[in-house]
Amino acid sequence: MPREPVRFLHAARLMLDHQLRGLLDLPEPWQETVRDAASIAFDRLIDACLDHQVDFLLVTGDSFDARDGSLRAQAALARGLNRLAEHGIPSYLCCGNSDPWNSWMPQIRFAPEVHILGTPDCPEPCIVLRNSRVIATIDCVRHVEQAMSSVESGGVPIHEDSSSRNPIAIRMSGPDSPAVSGTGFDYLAQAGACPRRTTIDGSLTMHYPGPLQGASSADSGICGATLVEVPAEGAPQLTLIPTAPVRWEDLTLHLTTAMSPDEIVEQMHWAAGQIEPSPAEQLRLLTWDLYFHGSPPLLLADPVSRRRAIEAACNNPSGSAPPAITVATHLHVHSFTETLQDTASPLARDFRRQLDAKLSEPGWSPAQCLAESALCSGPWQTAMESALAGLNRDDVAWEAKRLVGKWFAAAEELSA
Amino acid sequence: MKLREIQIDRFGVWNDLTLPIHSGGVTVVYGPNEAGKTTLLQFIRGVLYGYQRAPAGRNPRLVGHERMSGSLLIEEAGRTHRFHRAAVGVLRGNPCLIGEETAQPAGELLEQMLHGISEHVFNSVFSIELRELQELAGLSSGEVAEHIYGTSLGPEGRDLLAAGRNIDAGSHRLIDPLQQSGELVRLFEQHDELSSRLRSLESATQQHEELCARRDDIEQEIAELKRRLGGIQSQLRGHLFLERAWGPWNRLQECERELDSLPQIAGFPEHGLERLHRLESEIAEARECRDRLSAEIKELRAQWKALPVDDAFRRHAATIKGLVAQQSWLAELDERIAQAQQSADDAGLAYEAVREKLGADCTENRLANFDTAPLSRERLFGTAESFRGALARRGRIRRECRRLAQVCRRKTVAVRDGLKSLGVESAEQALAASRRRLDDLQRIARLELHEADLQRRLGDVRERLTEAVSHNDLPTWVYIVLGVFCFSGIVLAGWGLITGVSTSWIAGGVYAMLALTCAGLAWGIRQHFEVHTAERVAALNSRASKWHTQLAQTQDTLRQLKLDAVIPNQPADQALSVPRDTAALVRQELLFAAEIEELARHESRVLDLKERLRERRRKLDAAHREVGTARSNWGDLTRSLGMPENVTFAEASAWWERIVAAKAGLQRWSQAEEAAALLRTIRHSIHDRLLETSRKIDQSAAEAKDPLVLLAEWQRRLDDLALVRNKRRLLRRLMRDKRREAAEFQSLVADAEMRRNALLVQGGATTRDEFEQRARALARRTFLEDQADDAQRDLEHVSRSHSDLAIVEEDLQAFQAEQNAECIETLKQEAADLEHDIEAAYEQLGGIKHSIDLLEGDDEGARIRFEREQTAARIAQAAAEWCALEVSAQTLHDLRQQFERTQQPATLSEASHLLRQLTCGRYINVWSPLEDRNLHVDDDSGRSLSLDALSRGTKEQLLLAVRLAVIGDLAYKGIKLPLLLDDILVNFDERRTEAAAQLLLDWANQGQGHQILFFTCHPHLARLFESRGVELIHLPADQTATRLAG
Repeated sequence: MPREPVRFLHAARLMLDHQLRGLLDLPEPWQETVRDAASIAFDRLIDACLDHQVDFLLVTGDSFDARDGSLRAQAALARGLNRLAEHGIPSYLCCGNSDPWNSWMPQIRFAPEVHILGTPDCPEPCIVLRNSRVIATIDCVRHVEQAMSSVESGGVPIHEDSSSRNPIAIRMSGPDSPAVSGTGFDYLAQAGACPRRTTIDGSLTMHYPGPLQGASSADSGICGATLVEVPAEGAPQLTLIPTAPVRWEDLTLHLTTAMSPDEIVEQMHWAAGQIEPSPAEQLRLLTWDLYFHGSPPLLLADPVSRRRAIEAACNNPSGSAPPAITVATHLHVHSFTETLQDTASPLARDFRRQLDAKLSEPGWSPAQCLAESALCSGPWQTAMESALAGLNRDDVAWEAKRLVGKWFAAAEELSA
Repeated sequence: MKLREIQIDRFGVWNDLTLPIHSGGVTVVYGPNEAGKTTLLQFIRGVLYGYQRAPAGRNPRLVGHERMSGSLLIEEAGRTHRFHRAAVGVLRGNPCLIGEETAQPAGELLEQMLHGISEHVFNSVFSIELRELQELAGLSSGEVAEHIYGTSLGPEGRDLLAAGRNIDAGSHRLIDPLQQSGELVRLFEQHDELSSRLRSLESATQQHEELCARRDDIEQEIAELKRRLGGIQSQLRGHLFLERAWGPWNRLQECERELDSLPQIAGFPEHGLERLHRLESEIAEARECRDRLSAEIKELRAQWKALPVDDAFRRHAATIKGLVAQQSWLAELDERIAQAQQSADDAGLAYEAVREKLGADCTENRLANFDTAPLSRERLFGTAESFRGALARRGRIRRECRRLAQVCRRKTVAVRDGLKSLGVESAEQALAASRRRLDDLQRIARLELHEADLQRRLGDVRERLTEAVSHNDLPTWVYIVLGVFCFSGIVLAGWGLITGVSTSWIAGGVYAMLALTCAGLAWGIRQHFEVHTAERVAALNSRASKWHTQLAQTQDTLRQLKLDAVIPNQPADQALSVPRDTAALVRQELLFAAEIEELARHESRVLDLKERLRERRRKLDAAHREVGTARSNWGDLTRSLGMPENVTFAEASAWWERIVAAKAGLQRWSQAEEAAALLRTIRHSIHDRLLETSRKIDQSAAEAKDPLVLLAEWQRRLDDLALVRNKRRLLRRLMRDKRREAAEFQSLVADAEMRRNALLVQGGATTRDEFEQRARALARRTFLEDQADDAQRDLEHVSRSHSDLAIVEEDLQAFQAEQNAECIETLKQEAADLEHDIEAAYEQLGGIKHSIDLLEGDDEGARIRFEREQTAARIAQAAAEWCALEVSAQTLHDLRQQFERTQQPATLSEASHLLRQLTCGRYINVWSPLEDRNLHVDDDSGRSLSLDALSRGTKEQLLLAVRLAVIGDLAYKGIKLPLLLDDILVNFDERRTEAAAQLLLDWANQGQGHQILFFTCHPHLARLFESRGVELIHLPADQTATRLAG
């Protein structure tokens, strides 16, 4: 008997009311968008469920961050899911590392159509009904992994890394129907904190939709949920539904020292214009990685000039429709060759040489730098250690080399 | 500068002391304690820079009033000068030269020989006592420090210091070493504060939990209340049902009982009784109207007959009415006839007045034929205007010609006088000659400058030649050495010849080779010192010869040019005999040229004026011709118009206006006469028609009356006739209408009586009373049936509205209204109480839900977390900057250490070299930190030691080395002064003392040589120097002969 077509939305890492990281000096008009980015994305997810008339919504973990202790997050989650329930759309959620079950506030009331897998109130496996007919069976993988490993000796690589913990397996048929694949499940909804990815192993489609809203520059690209359409026969079709109002993008450019400031800005402008626009994005945050064969020009050493260059590059990138405001957040400049030109002063050359040697010492780290400084103890030692822990060695090197050009007049002349 | 002799007249303990001093190398002055060595040193200082307070003499009474006097014989640039200085007490005295007279003051000459070295520098560097040697302060400030540490750190040193300052400033800006201030501290505090605020928001979660629990309780309570309310409402509904059902049921029972008692009536007409009453009233009303109309018709006929009518007047009424309508127009016509006659009379009088002004020959026919059209007037005035314009143009051109002629004459005379005053015939020729002379003068000026330059260069070359020749002489010891070598060569050659002949040729050859070697050495030394000087002298000679030749050529050219140059207004012989200032000549020539140019400009302007005058005269001729033509045209026109030929423009204009006015007056008079005649004709015709009509109506009275009076009487009679006719017409119309109405009422009466009879038959009655009785019975039955139907419907409605309740007959029969009402009231009260409780619970629930919504929607936490994330980002940025600064600081520290040891000023490098010699290689490097004028030394093991860490002797050796290095640096710059050392080696150990002595000897013989005066009271030091070939000067042990008496 052929199965019935099923359509559902798969989302993960909602991180409601969680704040984006690594942003500063954001202009006032955009702060509200950034502050409520996760909530906006979740509202769009609910709207998408209604627009696509899905059979159910599946959320695989990290609906909120328990460390935030945000009542607003759980209330918004309940409000959105209850709204779906009012339209007869059930929701299936599982807890993640960020939102363990004991962090869910008991006073938050969910509609009966909202099922939180793995909780005492939710028997497993769950069945999804349409017109009193079972169209899908949903179960946490800890209940099915034993069955899967017993069916195939190799097993399905569900636990291929730590990010695929607590996945949810879905069988697109009733419990009594014959299994489509050897494991008996058609779709493995993965959880974790990794980027969006899809793995197809035989007839089993394993998918992680990525975060609903990127939390930092590590979540580069279009973020959103996945519309999973399972036809009567064949593999599920996956479609990305963009939801994130704030979009992070990493841009990498390979430039030469001989390029003039205008040419650099033009290259950056061109690269910014190559980004495929997303209908959901309202604000685009760019992280630039510029690689130079030689010393970077002074344009990028002076903070004011650098900011102007970035703003000029981000100004109305071509093809950025629908209108999205683009803001640059970080600029990393890397230099392949560390030798200064002959016109640089010997002192500047010596300084950079010794600086490179020091930074290249094995075991050098910002923490060691702190330990060797006068701040190795004191009231803010722990805070300093914590602040330095996340530092990138290249950033420190770049900042230090930028200061070389600033301090030594010959180096400034060279850059000019 | 070198000291050759010290001559003390009186200074401290010394009196009449003369000490000759060697001009080169080290001079050791030896004397025991209190021999006056330090006094000698102070004396030298005093002569050079002015005496300080004199040292204590033998007589304490003279302290502060002692006389100081003496001189120094100083050699400078091959010349010797004796400077003498005398002072008393605290005065410093002024230097003077003895034995020579120069234009330059002695003080200035002495200052020049000291090369600007101040007294402080001299005392700190060149004149050192043991106490001063041990003090660093003398080297740490002012000019001395600049010599030691360099006036500038150099660009790299500056960059290093600037970078260090930037790092320190940046680090302190981020976080100070005590971690109490800085951007990072502020950010950390801000982060902690935000975290604290976030923790404080956790109470909101607790509050939310409590509110949710309370919300659940209230919702349960509301459910219970609703359940109780439902029960009460159910009971209440039953009682209300009974109450509502009993009324209709009771009415239905009563109606059915009365209907049974009433008879059955069939076929009775519907609304029969009403219809009967309506028919009877219609009959009565119609009869009454018919009778009233008949009486009114009779009365109207009587009135119609009483109205009178005039038949003759009535027949001609239409004609009369037309004539009466013209009554007002006829009156107006009379007035218009009078006015037209008055206008004609006035126009005739005005015409006569104008015509009289034109003269008797101006008849009406001539006026009528005169052409006063606008075109003729335009032609008259256009010709007059053109004639007048031609006259004005001719006058204007004539005045301009006169003015130009006067200006031209005045300027021509001025130019001629100017040329005569300058003595030239033509301005152009004089200007060309002046420019030629100016070129010659400029060339002379250039040649004079060139001549001065050549003379200066020639003087320089000669001076340098003299200097080169004077420095060509080799020192005496060189000639002695060369002589020794030559003599040895000759002796050895002779000895070799003898030895070769007598004993062995090999030994002779050896001696010969030695001889050759000595000769070669002598020749080589001389060549080495003399060849370079000879080449330089030859080059200078060649250059001097070349410039001398150029100078001679320049002077010849200059002389020739001055002969050729003849300045105007100045005789040529005077120009050659009197030396002239070329610049003054140039200025004079420039002034002359400027005057000539001004005259040339004036001459050019005169020519322009003459050309303009010729042009104006041609225009004046044309204007004359134009005036003649215009005058001819004007005469022709006035003749054609009948005016005299010599009429003026104003007279012609006035005559034209009078003609036009007379013609217009004639026209107006003719038109007024014609209009008055026409009006009179119309009046006569109307009067004729009135008479004819009047005769038709009344033959007797028509002839005598005025037409207007007659018409007024007719008007009155016409009004009376119209009134009577209207009244008669109205009365006839009323009688006709009333007769028609009376007939209609009669037919209505008959119709109503017939319908009443039919109705009685249909109701089954013969009389009106019987018909009424049957109608009442039928109405009552119908009413009761309707009441029963209504009661039945009400009962069914009540039953339907309470579908869950059934109508029980027994309950209705047993229904007690009062008892039921009491139950209903009680149940309603209970239900109201419960609803009130539910409403209160809902209000409470709403408040709680609102509070919950507020808590759930509160974005304060999000705002704080957003701000905290931004703070964290700022912390990360600041930490990266701090880390970069820290690693840069560490790198810069290493770089600075390296720089400080390798990039020291030349003075300290030289001091390092000297210290190494003084300490026999124990200390190898002297350096000072950047921007810190403190000395540090590195020992042979690489340790760096500050000055305080050194022993006394080593410290003195270091400071001696630094002073010697400074003196060497000054010597390199051409400043050479004698070095005075007062027992500075007393703290040196034996080995280093020997090294120091040797260093002083070597150092004194370097280059052009330094003069050192070494004062000591230690015999071993004196012997040490003496053993190294230094000649000692022993101060007299017994100073009675040379010292002042105590």
